[in-house]
Amino acid sequence: MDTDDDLMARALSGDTAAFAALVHQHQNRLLRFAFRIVGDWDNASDIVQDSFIRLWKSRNRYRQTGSAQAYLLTIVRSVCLDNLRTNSGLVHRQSDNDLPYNGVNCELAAMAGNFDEAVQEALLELPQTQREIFILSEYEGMTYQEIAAIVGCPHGTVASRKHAAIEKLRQSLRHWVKGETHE
Amino acid sequence: MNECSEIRPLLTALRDNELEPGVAATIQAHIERCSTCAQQLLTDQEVIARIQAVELFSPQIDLWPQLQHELFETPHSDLLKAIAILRADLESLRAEVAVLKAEATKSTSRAQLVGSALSFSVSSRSAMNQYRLI
Repeated sequence: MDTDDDLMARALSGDTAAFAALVHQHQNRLLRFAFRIVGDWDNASDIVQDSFIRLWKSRNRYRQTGSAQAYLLTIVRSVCLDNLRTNSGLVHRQSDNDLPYNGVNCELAAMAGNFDEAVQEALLELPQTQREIFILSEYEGMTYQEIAAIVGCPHGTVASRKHAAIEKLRQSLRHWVKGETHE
Repeated sequence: MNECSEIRPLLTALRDNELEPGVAATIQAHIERCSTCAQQLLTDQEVIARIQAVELFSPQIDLWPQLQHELFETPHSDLLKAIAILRADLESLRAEVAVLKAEATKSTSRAQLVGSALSFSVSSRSAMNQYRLI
């Protein structure tokens, strides 16, 4: 069976069957990653599709520097940032896409006792630079060094942003973690 | 600056095993004697564990058909397909024309043969008549 790196190498040499296999293998994971960054499934789907299109169209410029997974995440992250810029930097939520984010939704979700929603809201309340590092670390299992390469910042910055993200998440989700659970 | 304020920003990296062994050992030693920092580490672990336990129900989307359409079925390839179909039609028409021509040639030959035969018959009769007159 082909490894991700083999598939990537074959896809980037123009093998459409390998490219199809790469898409099928990574699309769901990348979709969840994009959703956690932008907070909207439709946007996330467009982002992952655009990312694969970029990958295919620029395949001649590809230089293998890390894993296929890291390379795909780098592209998706970049398209996510373009998407957030296009949408004036506002993070959108699945439930009410047209309203700018006001930062009180995590509290509302907490009051309603819905932990799953509160987590998603709390993630979206994080500054984008902290959110992406938290997601890459905790959901994608990347090391600080891999994250530094994807995000393009020093290792120490990854550490400090991750710590800041956890501080904020602890604050946002305090209802559930200090014996004040609403569940 | 007290020890705790220096240690706390490093608790996340400690949990992630991202510290140099010497630094990690120093922080571990501090945690063993500082219940506040130890509690913060536990709380952070609980927050992250609970966040990770949340399942994300993502929609089942297959991007490949759309990608295939976008990347490999461009208007240009549609045009090439249309040209290929027209070429096949043209070949088929040529074959039909060839068959019709062959049939027409056969008919012409037959007509010529009949014509020749008729002309032979007429000229024979005329010769006979002339002979009778003589």
